[in-house]
Parts: sequence; C-alpha cells; structure tokens
Amino acid sequence: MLGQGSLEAYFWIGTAVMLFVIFTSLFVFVFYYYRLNKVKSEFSDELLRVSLEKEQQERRRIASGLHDSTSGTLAAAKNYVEILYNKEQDEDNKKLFELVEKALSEIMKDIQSTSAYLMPPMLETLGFMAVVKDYIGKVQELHPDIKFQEDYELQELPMATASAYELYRVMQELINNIIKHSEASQVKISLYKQSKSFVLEVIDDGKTYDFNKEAKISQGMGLKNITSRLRKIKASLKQIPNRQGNKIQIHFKSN
Amino acid sequence: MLRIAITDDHSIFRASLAALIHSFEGMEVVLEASNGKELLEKLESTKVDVLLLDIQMPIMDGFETFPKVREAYPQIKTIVLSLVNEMSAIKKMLQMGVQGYYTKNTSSKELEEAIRNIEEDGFFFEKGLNAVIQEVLEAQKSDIEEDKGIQFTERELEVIKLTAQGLKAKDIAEQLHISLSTVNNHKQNIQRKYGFESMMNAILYCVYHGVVDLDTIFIEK
Repeated sequence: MLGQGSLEAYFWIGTAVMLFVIFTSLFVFVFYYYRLNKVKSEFSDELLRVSLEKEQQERRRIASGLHDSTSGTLAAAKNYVEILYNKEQDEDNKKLFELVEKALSEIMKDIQSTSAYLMPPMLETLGFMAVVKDYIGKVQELHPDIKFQEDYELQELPMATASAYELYRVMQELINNIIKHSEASQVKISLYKQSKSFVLEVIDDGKTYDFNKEAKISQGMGLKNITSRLRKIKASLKQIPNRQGNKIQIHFKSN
Repeated sequence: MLRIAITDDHSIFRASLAALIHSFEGMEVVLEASNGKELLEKLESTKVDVLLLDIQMPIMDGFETFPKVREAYPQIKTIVLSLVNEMSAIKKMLQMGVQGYYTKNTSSKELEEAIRNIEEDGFFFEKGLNAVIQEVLEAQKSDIEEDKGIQFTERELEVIKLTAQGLKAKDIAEQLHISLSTVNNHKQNIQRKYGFESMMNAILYCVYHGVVDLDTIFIEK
C-alpha cells in the first residue's frame, strides 16, 4: 500500500512533467513559428528579387528580338517592295505594292513602340537620364492637355543598368497613375542630389491620394509593383504632404 | 558615280539596302560592314563618299564609330540609318555632327534624295522626324551659351539659309548671282571665322538663336 505522501509526490511530479512538456512544446512551437515567419519573409523577398530579375531578362530578350531582328527584317522586306514598286510599270500593281509597303511600315511602327515600352532601347548606351527625357517627350506628345515640366540638376546618373531599369519602371508607373487617375493639368519631374543620395521627385496638381494606403488596398498591381521594385534597389519612397495634388520623392543611392 | 558604304549588323537588311541603292541611278555600294570596327578596317583600302551608318551594332556601335570616321576621313558624309527614333539618340548624333538622320522606315525616295544631296553641306532629316528634331533643337537652346554673339554678314546669312534648305553650291551661286567658288569661299569663311566644325553647326547655331527660322529650313525640296 502506498502512503498518502508518496501518492502526493507522484501527483506533483506528474503535474510538473506535464507542465514541462506543455511549456516546452509551446516554446518550441512559438520559436519555430517565429523562425518560419522569418524564413517565409526572406523567401518572399528572394522570390520577389528573382521574379523581378526574370521579368527584366525576359523583357530584354523579347524587346531585343523584336527590335534588332524582326524590325530589321521587316525593313528589308519594305526595301524589296520599294524596288518592285520603282520597277513596276502597271499602275494597278504599283498601287498594290504601295499598300504592301504601307502595311509593312505600320507593322514596323507598332513593333517599335511595343519594344520601346518593354525595354527603352537607349537605356544601356545612353543611360537613365536619356531614357527618362525620351519617355517624358513621348508622353507629352500623347497628352498635350497635361503640361510636363522637367528640372534635372544632373545630366547623367551613374547607375548600373539593372537598377536604372527598375527606377525607370517606377517613374513610368508614377506618371501612368497621374495620367490615369489624378486629372492633373501640370506635372513636374525633377532629379537632384541631396547629401549622399539622389532624389527623383514627381509633383502633380491633381487629386490627392495616400500612397501607402492605396498601395495596401488597391486591387491593381501598379502601386505594389513600385514598392517591390524600390525594395529591390534599396530605394525609399516618401510622400510629402502638399496642399493640392501630390509630391512623391524617391530617395536612392547611385549604386 | 557616288560611292556608298553600308554599316549595319542586320545582314538581311544590309543586302536589301544594297539592292535598293543599286536600283538608284549614279550610285554604287562599294563597302559593306557589320560593325564600326569592320568599317574602319575596310575604309583603309576603299574610297567612300557617303556612309550609311546604323547605331545599334555589336563590337563598335554608331556613337563610337562616327567620331572615328570623321577624324580619319573628314570628307565622308554620314547619314544615320537606324531603327532608333528616340530623341536622345538623335540629339547625340546631331551634336556629333552627322549630316543626316533617317529611320529604316523612311521611304526609298526620301533616302535617295538625301544621299544625292548630301554632297552639299546641308541639313537632312526624315520628314517624319520633324517633331522630334524640333524638340531636340528646343531642348538644346538652353545648352548653348548665349554669349557667342556672332554677327554674320548679310551674304553669309543668305548662304547659310540656302544651305540649310539643302541647295547645292551650284544652285546657291545661281540664285545669288555669284560664282561657285565665291559660294565655297563663303562656306569656308563661315566655318573658319566663327569656329564652326561644319556648316551643320553653323546652321544649328543660327536656328538656336532665331537668326534662321526653322520653317524656312523644312520647306519642300
């Protein structure tokens, strides 16, 4: 027969063991949960980096295929048709050659603008500032009702092409947003140096919005893309409160 | 016979362009190269009047090639023939001093006229690029220092205007009732006296400063 005391001792030991097991497993659970989250976020960062990189590679591949190869071959076809046109005596045939030539010319234009949208052709050779100016020039032509102003403290930006590409996409996305949603009549794009970093600033006089809030709730990928791209090149976005319209600054280091 | 060189890395396009030029009267393609380096090698043994130069090429692109050609062979006239219609590229080529800029989408007639007239110092651009060229000039206004303050003589101005319109020296002489050598003297003077690298630079200078109106340049030739 066991004594009352030893029974109580077993009870306590049992309880202690159970509590130990419970707390240990709880601890292990919390610890691993935390670790898992960390791994998950590292993983999603990595995933993001890889997918942006892949996107850039693919765009480059498609754009250069279209631009260098397809457009060149089309231009060749156009040349041959022009030779036929010049040689042809029959007026009806001449007209047909003219139509073929016109069609080829239109295809070339379409391909040009598609490939330029995918990857600005001068980014690698002439750099970020050149393609920004080209882009604003084209946008201005398409949207004469909005007045685009440019103010660049620097004529060139020393920056690796891969990062310059992401920054260019961000700028493009910001301008696209303004055109689509803000009803602005004036937009100002500036680039200047601030101590050791650079600032790309886009100001508009349209409808005011809260970038961070919109980025969270927005269904579209535009604003979310901006955040992702900036994270990839370790740049930050600041929205400066403005009485009317919006003032967005991108702060970044040159490399 | 005008001797033409083609430099382009797209072999099918190059062949088509050679065939096209072959169909133009009084011109022959004497040199074909797939990049700037190859061009410079071949220029050592081949005499060329007009160079049709692509921009985007491997090994040595158009931006790198043009200044080298210009330095070694200042008599060669260069027309850029590229797919690129971006303002930045046109601006850069223009500042370097090319005599013409056309895209591969140009009509053969326009290209033929440009090659034919390029022998004279002129200002030859694809009509479709008019808007972009205007923008380039606009953008450059601020880049040019204002204090150069050149006072051209009246005759010099007339020569510049007519040159800008793409007139041959012979026609300028006829129009101004002076001799051909006088016209050429004026041209040389304009470049030497005021330190312009080419007639093109003098024309650009006049356009920036409103000495010559753009509308008078882009008239139907």
